[in-house]
Amino acid sequence: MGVRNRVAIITGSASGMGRDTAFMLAKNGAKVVINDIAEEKIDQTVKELKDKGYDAIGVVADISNKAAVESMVSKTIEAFGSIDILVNNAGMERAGSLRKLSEQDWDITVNICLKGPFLCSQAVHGHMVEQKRGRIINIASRAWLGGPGQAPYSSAKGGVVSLTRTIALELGKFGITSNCIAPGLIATPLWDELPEKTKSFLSAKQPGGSIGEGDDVANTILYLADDETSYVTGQVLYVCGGRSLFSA
Amino acid sequence: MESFKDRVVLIESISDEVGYAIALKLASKGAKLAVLDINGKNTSDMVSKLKEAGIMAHGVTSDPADGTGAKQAIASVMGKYGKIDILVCNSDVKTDCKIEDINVKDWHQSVKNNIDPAFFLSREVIPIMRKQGYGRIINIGSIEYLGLAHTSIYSAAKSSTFGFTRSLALETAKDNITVNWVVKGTIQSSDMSEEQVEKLAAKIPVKRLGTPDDVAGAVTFFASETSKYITGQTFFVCGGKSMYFSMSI
Repeated sequence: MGVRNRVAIITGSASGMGRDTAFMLAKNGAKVVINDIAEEKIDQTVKELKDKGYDAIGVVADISNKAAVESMVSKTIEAFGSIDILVNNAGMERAGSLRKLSEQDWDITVNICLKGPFLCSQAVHGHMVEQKRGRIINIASRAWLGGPGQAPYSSAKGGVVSLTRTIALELGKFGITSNCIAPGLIATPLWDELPEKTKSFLSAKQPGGSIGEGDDVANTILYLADDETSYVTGQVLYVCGGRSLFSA
Repeated sequence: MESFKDRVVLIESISDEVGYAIALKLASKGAKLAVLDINGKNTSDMVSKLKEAGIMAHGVTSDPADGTGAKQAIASVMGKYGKIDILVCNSDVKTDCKIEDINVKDWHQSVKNNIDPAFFLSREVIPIMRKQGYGRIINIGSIEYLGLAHTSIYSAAKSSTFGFTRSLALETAKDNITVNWVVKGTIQSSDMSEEQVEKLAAKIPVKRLGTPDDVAGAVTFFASETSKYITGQTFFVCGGKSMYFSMSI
């Protein structure tokens, strides 16, 4: 039970929530694959995990590239022999008004936030079907409900919700669950970079008055990744301090 | 998952298999248990059953669907443990009949059975949780709230928990109290035949029925300290069945 000895790929895990998730899963006995596009950051994260005695490897891969994703999956199988948990965490955002957004803004956001989870899920699902067990956990965002200036991001994250449900319906009979976490405001490096005025404006909209931490998301991932959570699939769980009760 | 040592949990409507599984799961993680039922025999049977499993529980018999009964229940738990950290409202009484066959008494009874305990108990326990600066309220729902033929009064009563949970979540968000709604799908019970189980399982994406333990796992997650940033949510434990309904996300 739990995630002991399970193998988990966490995309975008050299920093932020992905990194917190990798440490959370590793602390609970999982073998983790650290993926990102920044090799130096991956090496550092893997080193820190290994220093704590955890089992980890690092794989540089652009998740919007099919060949790179397939190579990441092969390296995981080579190192650990199976893939039990996929956390589609990697994401990025190009924000702006509908008038100002470029085609490139749309393409890069949708490629990372939506095409990436599709390619990664596609690449791992055969292994999971074979072993009749698997957990796919997609990180969407409360923003899938729609937000001004977030056309590409909201749309991509909305697609992630649909992808989650589709995978759940297709793969449920193979013992594979597919769920989605929709985080609200979380204290990540991206949050830290925001101007103080924006932070105060956003925090004031939180029902509880404060924002979440990476571990709030990581703990939820740990629950959904657990062997025991086999009867939960196709769900969207908001980790947002109740902010999802209001859309925009 | 974290330990619940020193946490006090009150589980309402304890007589069904789901209530028992929740009690077992939380007790196995160290929680101190209080179990409440309107029926004295149900309460004492559950306390004995838990005792056989090596778990000591404080049994309370009173009517949680009544202001005085709820007050007495909360006072009894406070008298025993001095605090209440987690409230699980598990009341679930299904009525299955055509609209033209339902009388006014049935209607009021369904509301009384399915939502009144959550209202009266929450009204009593939230001021206590506020003072403690900590609280977790988990209401247990049923997927039938989304509407099925011949379940009108049950669906209506169960649906009311949706708005109730969200409202309470907003009211208590600044008090380190979370309020969430765990909605169970088709759960296997000991009185189902093998044929019944097989037939029902075929209609569910994961091709099996749920167990009381599946529900207990979700309740334990929402009861934990680590789920502090999740409130006002509806969470289905249904093997994906909710995806067959609209309005389920």
